[in-house]
Amino acid sequence: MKRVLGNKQNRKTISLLLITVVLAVIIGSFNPDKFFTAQNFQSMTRQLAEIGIYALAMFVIVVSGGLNLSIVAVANLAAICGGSVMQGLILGDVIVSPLARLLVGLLVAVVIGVLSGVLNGYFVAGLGLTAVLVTSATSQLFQGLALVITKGNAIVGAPEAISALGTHNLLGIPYLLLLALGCYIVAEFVFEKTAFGAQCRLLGANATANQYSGNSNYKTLMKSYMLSGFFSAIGGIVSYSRMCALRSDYGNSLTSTAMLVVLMGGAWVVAGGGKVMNIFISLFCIQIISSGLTLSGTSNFTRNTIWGALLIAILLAATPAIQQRLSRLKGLARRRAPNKGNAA
Amino acid sequence: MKKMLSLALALCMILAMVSCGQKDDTPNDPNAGQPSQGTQDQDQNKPQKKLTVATVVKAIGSNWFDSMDWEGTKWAEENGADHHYIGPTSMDSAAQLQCLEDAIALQPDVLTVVPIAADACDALLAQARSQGTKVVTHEGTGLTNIDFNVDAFSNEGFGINFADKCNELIGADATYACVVGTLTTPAHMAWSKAFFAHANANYPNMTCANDLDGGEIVPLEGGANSDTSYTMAKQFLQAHPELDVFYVCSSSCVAGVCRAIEELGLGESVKVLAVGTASGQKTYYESGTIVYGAMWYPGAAQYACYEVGKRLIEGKTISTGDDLGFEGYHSITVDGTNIYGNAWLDITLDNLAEMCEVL
Amino acid sequence: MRKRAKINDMTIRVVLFLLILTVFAIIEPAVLSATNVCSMINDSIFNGIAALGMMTVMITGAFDLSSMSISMLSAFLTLKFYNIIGYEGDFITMFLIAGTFGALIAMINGFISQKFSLSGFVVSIGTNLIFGSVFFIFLRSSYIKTDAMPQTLLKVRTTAILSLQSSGGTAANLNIGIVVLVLTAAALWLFLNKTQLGRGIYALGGDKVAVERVGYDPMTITLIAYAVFGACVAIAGIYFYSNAGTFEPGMIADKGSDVIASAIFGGCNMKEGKGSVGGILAGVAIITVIKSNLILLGVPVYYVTFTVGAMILLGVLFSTLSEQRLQRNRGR
Repeated sequence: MKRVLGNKQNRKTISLLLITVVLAVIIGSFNPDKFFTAQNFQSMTRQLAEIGIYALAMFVIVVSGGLNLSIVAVANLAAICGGSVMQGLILGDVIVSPLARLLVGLLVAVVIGVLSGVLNGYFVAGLGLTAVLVTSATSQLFQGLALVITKGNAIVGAPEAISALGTHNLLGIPYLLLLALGCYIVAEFVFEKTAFGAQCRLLGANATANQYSGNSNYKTLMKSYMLSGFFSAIGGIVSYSRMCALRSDYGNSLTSTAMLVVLMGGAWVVAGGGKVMNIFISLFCIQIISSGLTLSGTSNFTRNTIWGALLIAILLAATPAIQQRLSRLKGLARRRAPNKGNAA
Repeated sequence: MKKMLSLALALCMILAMVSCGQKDDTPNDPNAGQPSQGTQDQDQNKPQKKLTVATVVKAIGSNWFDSMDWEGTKWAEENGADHHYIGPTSMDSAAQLQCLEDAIALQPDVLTVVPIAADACDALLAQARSQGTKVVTHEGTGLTNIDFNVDAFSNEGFGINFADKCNELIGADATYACVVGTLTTPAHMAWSKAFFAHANANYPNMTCANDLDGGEIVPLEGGANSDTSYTMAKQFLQAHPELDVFYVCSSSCVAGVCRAIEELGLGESVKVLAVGTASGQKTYYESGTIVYGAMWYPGAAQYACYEVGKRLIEGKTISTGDDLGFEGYHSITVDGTNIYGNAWLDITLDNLAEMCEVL
Repeated sequence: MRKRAKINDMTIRVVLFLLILTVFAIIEPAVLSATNVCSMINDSIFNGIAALGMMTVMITGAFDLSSMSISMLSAFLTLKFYNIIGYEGDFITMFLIAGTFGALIAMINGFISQKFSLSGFVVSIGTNLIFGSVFFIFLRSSYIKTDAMPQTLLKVRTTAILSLQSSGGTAANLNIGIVVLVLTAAALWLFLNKTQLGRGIYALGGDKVAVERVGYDPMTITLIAYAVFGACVAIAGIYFYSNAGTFEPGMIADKGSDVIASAIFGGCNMKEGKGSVGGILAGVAIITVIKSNLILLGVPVYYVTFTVGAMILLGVLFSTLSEQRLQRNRGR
């Protein structure tokens, strides 16, 4: 049973992969001299690595049926605090060695990310407020805090290790892509192999059913917001490594791009659904459209239109699969919830 | 899960292989761009290799930046080059960085950038230069990894001019407030600070109504649309009834500030010194709320940027007094990596119709 | 019972609104001056009209992120339409034409989501990208200068229905837009509460199966709800661009988050299909009072964003805690 359904899942992955390859061939042929180059490959993968990590931060929340509009603000705040430590602007007298500063800076960034996740989680899970409202308010809160810290100025410069992360390659593959791949493998493990992952999915698929399984709702949501904050912080570090500068107002558009990617990966088609690896593939898909069209000389208006059209096409193609997906979820949730039919 | 992983890896490998397969060819590209004149003339077609030029702006879809497309196309036609006009659909630094990455992947011979967040572009521009691209920015003062930055005028001079105009048109004892788009826009901050410093030094009776932070001016934030600046200005006008004049640095804030002034019935007592397009604020010039404005034509700057890039490729030097072939840039001033033109455009009621045609 | 619950939720919001206003007025009495009151009302117009539209969709259990694209696109089409026929425009046709465009555009969202039983939210992310871009691909420039705008529309900026000269030398002008907001709110209230179709919209958000059994056609109801939504955001959009005096596609994008915040703050709940006109107006009032007073109160510029975020969060906290307490009391 599981195998059959698994194959069905694979079919979606394979079709996404096919779409991606076909798109790469078509769009690449507009300007093959520039598109099929190592340089463009590296440029594309560096971009998609950044979007990809934000998409993970979004996915973690979406899977449990919410929406996190504060990922970019959290990322900026975390990176600004972490970066200030790395640059010696904060605690510069106490921590002197560059390596120690780097490590403490990373730690600070991650801690801030997770803490802001706790704040979001407290409001959403603890008090039962609407995720959209809470995260859009905390988004302003965090961005405002970052503005207070930086006074509107950019913090310029980055330690060697950070700037190398953003620009260097390992055997022709950018470090950033490897980092993103690592994050995706971690997420794949969490969402396919652990009880927490299954709980998140069940929560997204049928929150009412989950309520009967004791008070784990709170813990699941809290954990997922913390995880989202963690990935946001990593995203902040990635952005930092690409720019070697920190700003309080960086990248609002990344939120919607992250949503698009997650959506294409299928997380919303079925509440509680979405495969981590599908998201990884749709990242390539979106990036190929974006870079390919730019290289072929069309404007971003065209890109947006094609993004939107492709998304809707994929959605429509996937509609009949909804019911099967739901039943698979129940199996995965390890009998945490009473086996009620939720497909009315 | 293993299947998924292998699929993903396969995807990476396909792309990597495609790219590695081409890797041998790629180094030729930048090389072909540069020393083609001197060393490899016989390999190339007789006429010089067609140049690729690209410009990355803050946002497409407004006349301000689209004029850079128009004039860039004109330059490209005159010089037989291939012109790319790239930019995000709304003003966002992350979206712009992605456009910049793609533009660099185009391996253009000349790359022009109008950065939203100058500092954030610097690291990427270093990559562009390392592949042999000539980087010429506009509104990019303070960037380090560039060949030149072309501006219509010096930022400091621009702010000082407005302080002088304030003295001339409003009076030496004016109470003023500066408005910027966002506190993170470097050019707006530079103009406000220059205004503030010049007013403090030369017009001791002028009063600044803005917050001060350690002796530095903290301008008001007007936001990216006219509604935010409208809301902001109404509050500020009520809190500071003594105000005489707003110095509005952001084109997108002018309409909002003027609307606020007129709504509160203060059109007679509070005036505006405006930066930015004439055509967008025509009614407020006519009603007398804006007493003076200044702008520049970004298209001209674009033309000049490409011209500078081309001359660099040809191995020429750029020095003070050179003519870049567009009005306002017939006699430039070079200061380090900064190039200034005389492309200042004053807007008053007298030349309003003419200026509305420009932008 | 249900009705009483609604009144009580409403009361909490009104209390919260008065509380914030009182605290502000104690800090700075000018908050309650005629000028500032009019100013706050004017600030709430855009948000109010758009949030009312947003509510209609949320009642049906959906959520739409494409509101600002619809708003922008229908304003653009309206302005171009006036340009083509060479008419200088008037206030009534301006809102009607924009509303029609908006309704038609938004119905695309409703159709796709209902026909293929997809979540409206998901569809709207795709259509948001399309609506925001598709018309601008082929244009040399999408910018519309002040000169090229229908000149009568620009008068929206200065047309007031009430004008007072206050003591501080400032005038208090109540913009004509408030009439539009009041009319929209009244029409929507009548439509939702007093007509068959309106009850159908509420029913759709509650239980889709029940709707069919009672004899409503879910497709018709969805389309109508989206049409109302589209019309509202389009009216807000044309009002926004008339006030701006020029048209640029990107200008309106960041107004969206306030609209969503107002709608949710106003008690809209997509999961249960809840939402009322009064609640929305209260939500809009709270968001406006927070956003339109901080500079007057003298909050330093660097701290404004932070303060807005913190106050909204506290406001949400307050209203939710009170509601929960209310429900617990009722449970006993």
